[in-house]
Amino acid sequence: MYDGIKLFLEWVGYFFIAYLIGYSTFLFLSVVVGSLDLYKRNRQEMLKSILPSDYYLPISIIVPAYNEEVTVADTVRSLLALDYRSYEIIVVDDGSKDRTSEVLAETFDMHLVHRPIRRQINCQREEYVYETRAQKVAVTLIRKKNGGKADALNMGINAANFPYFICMDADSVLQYDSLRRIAQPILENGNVVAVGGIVRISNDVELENGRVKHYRLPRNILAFMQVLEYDRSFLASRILFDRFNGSLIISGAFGLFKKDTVIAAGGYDSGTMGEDMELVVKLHEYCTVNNIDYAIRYASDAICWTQAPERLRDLCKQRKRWHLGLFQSMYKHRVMFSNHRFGAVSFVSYLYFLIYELLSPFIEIFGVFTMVLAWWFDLINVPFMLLFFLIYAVFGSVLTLTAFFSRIYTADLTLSFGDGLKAVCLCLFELVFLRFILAWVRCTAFIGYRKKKLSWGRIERREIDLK
Amino acid sequence: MPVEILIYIYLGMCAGMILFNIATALLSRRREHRSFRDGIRLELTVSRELDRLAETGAVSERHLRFMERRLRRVNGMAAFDAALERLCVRRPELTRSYLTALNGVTITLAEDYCRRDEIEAAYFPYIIRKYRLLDGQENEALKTMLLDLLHESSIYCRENAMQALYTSGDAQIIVRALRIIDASSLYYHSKLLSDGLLNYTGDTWELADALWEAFDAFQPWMQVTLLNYFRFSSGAYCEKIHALLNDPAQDDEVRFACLRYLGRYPYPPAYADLLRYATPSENARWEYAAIASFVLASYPGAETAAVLKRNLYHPNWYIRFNASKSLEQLGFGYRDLIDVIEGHDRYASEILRYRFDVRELEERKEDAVCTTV
Repeated sequence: MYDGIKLFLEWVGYFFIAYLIGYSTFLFLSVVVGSLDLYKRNRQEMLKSILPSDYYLPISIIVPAYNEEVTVADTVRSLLALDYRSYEIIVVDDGSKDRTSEVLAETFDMHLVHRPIRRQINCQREEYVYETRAQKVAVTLIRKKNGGKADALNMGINAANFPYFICMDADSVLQYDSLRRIAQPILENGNVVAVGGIVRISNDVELENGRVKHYRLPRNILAFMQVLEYDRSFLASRILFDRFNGSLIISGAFGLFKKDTVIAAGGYDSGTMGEDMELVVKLHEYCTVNNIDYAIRYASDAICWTQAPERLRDLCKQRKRWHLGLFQSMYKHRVMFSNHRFGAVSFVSYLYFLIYELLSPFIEIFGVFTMVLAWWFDLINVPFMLLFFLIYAVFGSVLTLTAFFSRIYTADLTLSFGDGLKAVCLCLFELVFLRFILAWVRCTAFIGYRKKKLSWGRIERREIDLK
Repeated sequence: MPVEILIYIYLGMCAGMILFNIATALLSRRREHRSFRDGIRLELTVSRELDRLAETGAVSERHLRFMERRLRRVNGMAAFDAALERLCVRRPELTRSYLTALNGVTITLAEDYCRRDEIEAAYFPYIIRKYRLLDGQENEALKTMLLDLLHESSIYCRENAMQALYTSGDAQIIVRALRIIDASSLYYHSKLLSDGLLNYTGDTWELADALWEAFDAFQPWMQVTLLNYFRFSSGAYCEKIHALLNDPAQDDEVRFACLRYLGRYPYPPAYADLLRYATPSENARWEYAAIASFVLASYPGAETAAVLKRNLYHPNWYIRFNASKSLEQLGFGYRDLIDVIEGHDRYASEILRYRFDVRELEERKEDAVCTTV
């Protein structure tokens, strides 16, 4: 028995060494490539290696909303302040139980219209449509039967008048120049079918007409740690994957898509929780299978500000949804696993998401379990283990800080000394504690998942701090 | 692998990342300080030379040599840009003359910059455009170098070169540039060109003549680009465009662009053809009927109304949608179209109702504006 456990733990040790080398190498590469890319873009901006700002592709902005009476008016107000000429705003109220539609109709002087909607993608029926032309651009409100976020987005696509659409969350704020920036990859490359924007956390940031008036990091520790986490994952799975057209995720909070291609691929899957990831994976599959030249890009300067959950309970709910969405997307498109037809998307992106995102919480929890087992049987060199952990944590923290400071620097944001110090302290804490808490939460995501399948993810909202 | 080695590798990586962070932060801070300081210094130097230019009417050879050396470095060019920005506000006329005197230096620098990496190569045409260094000058060498930049893979470089060429006021060089782009396999978004051509600073009639002369030699996508440019620049080409529309040898996309042009600039001789295109046919792509239905909003008449009313019942969404929009724009009201609204075709009725709702919303907006005024 003892020998068996010893042999088992020995193999576990080898596995974890390989696992950690793989992860560390990936993080190292991605942070270096990502940082260099950000500095290159910064240099391009300084030396005016950019497209002039007066080209406008018409864009439909789709805002799916469910029980968003607190934030929806501010969101639309912020969209109306965007520095862009040719766009429309479509808010889809997915059968809210609060006054989302009423608030919007009253605030923006909207009127009932008998608008027929061409159903190119299947979705629940509309109950009524309101419109206004009294604003800078046309604003449409579609109230429909409840069908989930994906269903609401599909309705928005059906109603969109323009060839490109943006999907965003009702609690998010787009930076004043974000439309121009997110449309640039389309002007640069005719094969672009989707562009991801950058999501930054807006807790405690003061915004005025879509511009950052005063930047400070969140006072709430949990939100602060999410800033560090977002920055690290942005450099890891965004910029590096963008190099070989391998991005598998465009955040639901801010993404631009070519309408025709999305419709041809079947739109958002309303049976999936992670509809944003599912759509991007689906686009990869659809374009590859149909031999369509395509590109999915990231615009690292197109910024969307969003609220991060400030309570652990909300964060856990959010991460459970994300993890289930990840599982559903990967399972649905499992044809991409180890399939040479998909090239690097299969052998790098899909594999990375499978091992280091989908399975990682199970692997990490398993690691903790084996450590306890090894300690129980006195098969562990405790000082060495602690040293190993310490080095791993320091390594992770340094990479997190590199990502964090690269983004602060290249986004022209100024950081107070206190916030900088807080970042240094909390990055270690995030890596050692929050990561394991979230690993456990993600492990338990599958419990009761059928019940939550089509529900909207809810976190407590605050009014957006707009001037 | 001994675990100790792994630990050392990890530590090495950590140290490397920390050094990388510190070095980039320090370097960028130093660069910013230096660039600001250099800008101020250069402004003083150029300002002194402007005084001299005002007195003697010439720029000294020594200064030209100094500038040539200075501007070879991209940081020097950035400092020069910052200095010029301020001088153009304070002493616009003299700065203009100074830049003309600097022409020789510009050509020498152009050769150098065109050979550099794509970011620095793109910066040079930006400077040429910003300070109109080509404006009204017979500077073939510089123009040729800008044409060379159109072969670069970076779209920023190509677009900056085009923007600089638009300021040359030379129609023939624009045609040459478009030929290079047309023949290239590198992607160039049509909108960048059609909108960019509107920035042309020379005689637009001369440019239009040159473009029409070369028109047939271009590929269809470039022809569409040019037609879109004409659509936003002038209504003087209806006759030519009408002829293109009726030429079956032309690409469909080119003919669609012709239809749109004739919608923006009503041309009575084309009316009969537009009615014909608006009538859906099995032998033609549905886009003809859809676009022509939209275009007919600029051609009021009984026949227009009849065709559009008929199109309201067409199964194609776009044809129906555009027909309803045109009828509404032509001023038809609820009573005029009661037979459709109360008729058996729900799709036709719904789409028309919606158009009238939209008209009401537009009127409310106008009323609100009038009340405010």
